[in-house]
Amino acid sequence: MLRYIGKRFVIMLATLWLIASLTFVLMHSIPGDPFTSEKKFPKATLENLKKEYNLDKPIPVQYLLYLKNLATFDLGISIKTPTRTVNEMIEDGFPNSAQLGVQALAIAVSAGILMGMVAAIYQSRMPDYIMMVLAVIGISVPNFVLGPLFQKYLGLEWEIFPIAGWGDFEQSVMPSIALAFLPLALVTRLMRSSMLDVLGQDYIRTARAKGLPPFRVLSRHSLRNAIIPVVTIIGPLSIGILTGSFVIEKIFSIPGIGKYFVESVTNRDYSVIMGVTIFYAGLLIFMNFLVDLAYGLIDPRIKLGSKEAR
Amino acid sequence: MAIPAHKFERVERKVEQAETIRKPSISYWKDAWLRLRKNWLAMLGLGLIIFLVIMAIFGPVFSKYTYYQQDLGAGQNMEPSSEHWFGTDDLGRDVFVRTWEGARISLQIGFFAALIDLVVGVLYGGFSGYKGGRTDEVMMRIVDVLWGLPYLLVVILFLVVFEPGMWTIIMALSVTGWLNMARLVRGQVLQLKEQEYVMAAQTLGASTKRLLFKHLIPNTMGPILVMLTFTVPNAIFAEAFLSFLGLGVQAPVASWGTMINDALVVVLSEEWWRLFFPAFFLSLTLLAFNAFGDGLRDALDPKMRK
Amino acid sequence: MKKSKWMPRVVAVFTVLSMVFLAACGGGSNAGGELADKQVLTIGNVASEPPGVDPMKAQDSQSGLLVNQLMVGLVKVDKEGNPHPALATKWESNKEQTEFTFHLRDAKWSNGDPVTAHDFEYAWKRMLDPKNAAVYAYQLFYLKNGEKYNAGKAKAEDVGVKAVDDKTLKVTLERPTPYFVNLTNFYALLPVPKKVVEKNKDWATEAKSFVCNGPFKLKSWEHDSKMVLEKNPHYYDAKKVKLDEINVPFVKDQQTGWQMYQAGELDFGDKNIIPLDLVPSKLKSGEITAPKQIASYGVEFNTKKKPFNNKKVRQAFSLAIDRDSLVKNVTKGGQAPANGWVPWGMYNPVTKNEWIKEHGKYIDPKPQVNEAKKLLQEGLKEEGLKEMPEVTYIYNTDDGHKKIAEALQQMWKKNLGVDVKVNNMEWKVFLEKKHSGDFDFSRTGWLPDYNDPMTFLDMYQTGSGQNDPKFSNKKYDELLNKAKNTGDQKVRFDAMHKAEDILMDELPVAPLYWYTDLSAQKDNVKGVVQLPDDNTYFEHAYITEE
Repeated sequence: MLRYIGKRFVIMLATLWLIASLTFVLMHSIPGDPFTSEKKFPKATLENLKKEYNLDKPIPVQYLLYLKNLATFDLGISIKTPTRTVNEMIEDGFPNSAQLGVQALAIAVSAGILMGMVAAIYQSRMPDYIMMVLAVIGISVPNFVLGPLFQKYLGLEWEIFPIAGWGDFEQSVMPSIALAFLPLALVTRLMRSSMLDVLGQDYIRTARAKGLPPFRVLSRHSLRNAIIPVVTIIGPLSIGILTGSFVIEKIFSIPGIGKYFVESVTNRDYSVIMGVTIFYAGLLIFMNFLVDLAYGLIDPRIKLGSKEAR
Repeated sequence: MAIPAHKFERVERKVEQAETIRKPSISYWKDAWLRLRKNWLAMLGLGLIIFLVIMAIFGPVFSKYTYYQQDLGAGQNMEPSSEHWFGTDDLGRDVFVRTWEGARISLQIGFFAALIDLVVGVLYGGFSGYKGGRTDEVMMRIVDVLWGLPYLLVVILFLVVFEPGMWTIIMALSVTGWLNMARLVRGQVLQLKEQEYVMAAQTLGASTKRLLFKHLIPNTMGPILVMLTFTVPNAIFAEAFLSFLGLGVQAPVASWGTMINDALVVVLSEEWWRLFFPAFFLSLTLLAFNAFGDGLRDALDPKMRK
Repeated sequence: MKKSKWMPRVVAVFTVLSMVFLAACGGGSNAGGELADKQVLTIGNVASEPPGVDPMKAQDSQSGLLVNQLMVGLVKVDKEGNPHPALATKWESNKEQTEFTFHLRDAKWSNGDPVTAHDFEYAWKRMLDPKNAAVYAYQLFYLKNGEKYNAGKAKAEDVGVKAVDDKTLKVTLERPTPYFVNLTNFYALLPVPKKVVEKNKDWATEAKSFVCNGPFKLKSWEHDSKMVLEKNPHYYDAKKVKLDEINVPFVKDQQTGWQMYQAGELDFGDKNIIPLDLVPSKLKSGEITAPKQIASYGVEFNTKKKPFNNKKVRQAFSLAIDRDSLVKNVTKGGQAPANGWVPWGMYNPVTKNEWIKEHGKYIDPKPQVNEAKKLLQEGLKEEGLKEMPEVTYIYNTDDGHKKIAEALQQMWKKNLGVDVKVNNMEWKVFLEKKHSGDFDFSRTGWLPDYNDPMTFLDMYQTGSGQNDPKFSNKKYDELLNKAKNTGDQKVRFDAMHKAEDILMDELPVAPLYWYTDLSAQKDNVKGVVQLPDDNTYFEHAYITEE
């Protein structure tokens, strides 16, 4: 097991390097640079600017410089907002995005598993249908519609929650719920489906026949076997949510890092693009690794380090 | 009352027929269809889907307006009426026609996204999970790389290289659209392949192809179908996002995604119909797909086969 | 049984229905008179973390807005573009308008140090110093040797700005610039506290170390979240400042901003909190106002590419546009159909007349269909084309531009019988396409660099960096050069008018409309000054009792 983890770690670093390099290439192959603007800069100014950010050097040199900085965890200065370093941006923003994400995930996963199980147990009966309708709403009302709706009714008209802003818990309620909607629907539907698979298995029938109390059958036998799809999806889902939602953070004026993923690209803010990409990819790769480990814990039959089949 | 012996007739034993099975053999798929047909909810879903497809094709014909025809001045933002069944938008275009015009684009996008998910995602994940070991490691790291790349950069590159339009969108969606599905199927297959029946089939010398298609994938149908019902709306909204960046269908062509996007402001104003109709039919589509998907799941579940 | 089985679907449909079904709302408040006890204003003008409050780092209208409250320069400029004393109490220039001398008043920085002419000299040279790579360095290229110094071809001592003593600033310019006094109001030309900046390069990244000389100073700055400005007791005119604090939460979303404004969480805001689609109804109800803004929107033609290399084709496309309907039915924000490329709000300092009142009617707000069709046929014939080739109109991604593009597309189809393709693009892709000449025609919008018609005219001079249509006309260039090399405003304005005559005949750009700014303010907010050049000042703002 330790050997597997060690090997995986090396591979993870290699994957990260590959992502960083590809991003670097992509970034320099799209039109425009940080200083492309409607009012074109005079040549002299443009040269000064490029020099300031090392953009006057040949691309391979820039690449090596970047790798060197990356190895020392120095992500550089934002070109668009030169008052801030990329490290600061992530350090300040990520905790906010993460808090929001954890709250949303907690809602989505706990409620989703519960709702999914209820739907499976009451298959083709009223609770099942209600869950389906809720899930359909969850997926068909995008959060860019949901956010303003919450603000209008819960915020402006009924004055239950503040409309926007960040700082106290009350301000985080509406964005958390809005953010939880889609993953909640997904977890519910996945849970229902795999629960139905499991409930049809022989060992469940056996457990029931033995006279195990229904709750025990559910918790010990069914849930454990049914949760694999949910666990799989939670990996990428949680990273997507923890690293902030551009839409939700914009709507609710939350100082998270979600916007950097979009704005860095539209501004061609090279250092920020690279910084947030590495940060995101690192988390993602690590999370997928955890998910693979979790497989083994949930179902000991799953062996990942093993040889190839045939 | 006794029956006289001559009333009985002796049936000849035919050696050559001894091995025949009288009841016709029903294939997995046919059996599934038979069971699906009995599921009223699934059939309703199917009916709705067919209705939506027909409307997408012929809907605009029922109206005397075209999707691009503007009526600046008095005709802007008109409430639904006998003249304009779904009202008009901010440039005075008929929302009814645009809704069905939008359905064309959005349903196509949804269909292709689902197809990519099924073909690429399911096969990729299934193969990776089944093979395991080094193959799995490499294949999954490729998934990680595609996932880790800033998608917006990829999209902008597409913007430069390709002409905007339907196919460009579908290509842009295929870059990352299948990743969730691949990981999901792989996770399931990892679990399933350790089950006894798989081992049994392997021992009997079943080929990889047979194992995947006959055993592993049918047993993963539940999560696959759930994932598909999410891929469709995701793709429909992704189209709006891509169109927003300039990759998608170009004005004046409409899609549900862009119509919803453009009508967002009605949350604060009064022209509810501009958001309501595209959103309603999008929801209806998803409801239909979910109902049908649930039925299909039950029908395809090998364990429920009688 | 049958019936109950229908329930789930009915429930489904209605739940979805109610989720998306929306109702209307209204609001309003009424005015009062007395000065309120609490003089705190919350504004929604700023969307995100500004690039900086250092005049050297400010580079957009939002950071400009903040800097305008924090710093004060040599002069202030009024609505008609006349300069008024600020830090400079008086100034004089030579006849050629190449040398200016400013006499400064006694004023202090927020840390108590005096503001001197040396601070100006330092700030301006700092802007130009190639090592500092300032974005707006070109705003100081008016100074003698300014451009050369920025390019590393001249020394700092050669730059035409000098503090004769603490109170006298002498400026030498590259060539006659009668509007130079107005320019000193722009944030790139504001002073910085020399002593502070020399000691701490990062003086303007935190509230604690920031020193300024304007009506307000920085109380706190939570990065990426909000700023709080408070009254600066050291400001030379502090007696007239009534506001104690200005809260500046960064409001990233227009709809959110508008709802916060409705809920009373914001007192004042501009286009940053007013969703485009609400503008017509809110203008009608009086909840917002749309003052003039000096800016023009138009269609640029690529004059180096068929068919738009032909003047008649360009004219035909311009004549086919219903500008009247465009502003009434599409933009709906109080804009005016453009009658010339130089917009409203610009004044001739000699005659004191508005520029647009001084020239004839270049463009009819109504489409001239017959003439347009005729010109198109003639133009195509001249180019040897049998029919109109396929052309694509490009615009950068934005809801407002999209609506305009769709409306134009319809107008050209209806009035000219031409099917035009429209294509939106991500901002920088769009800019690259335009700069490299890889387009047929496109949208354009121009906000002035300074308050003089020249900023709208010299962009189409041969060789100008902004000349995306690649327009080149000898007579036009000559007239502009004549205007640029004289200190005589009468000669300048005559030449510039003649140049616009040519521009409006050749039409490398077909003007569509002149902009309006947007403004929403609560009834108890008074005294905010919003100028047509996109500058807003809260110096004399106050809040009355409701």
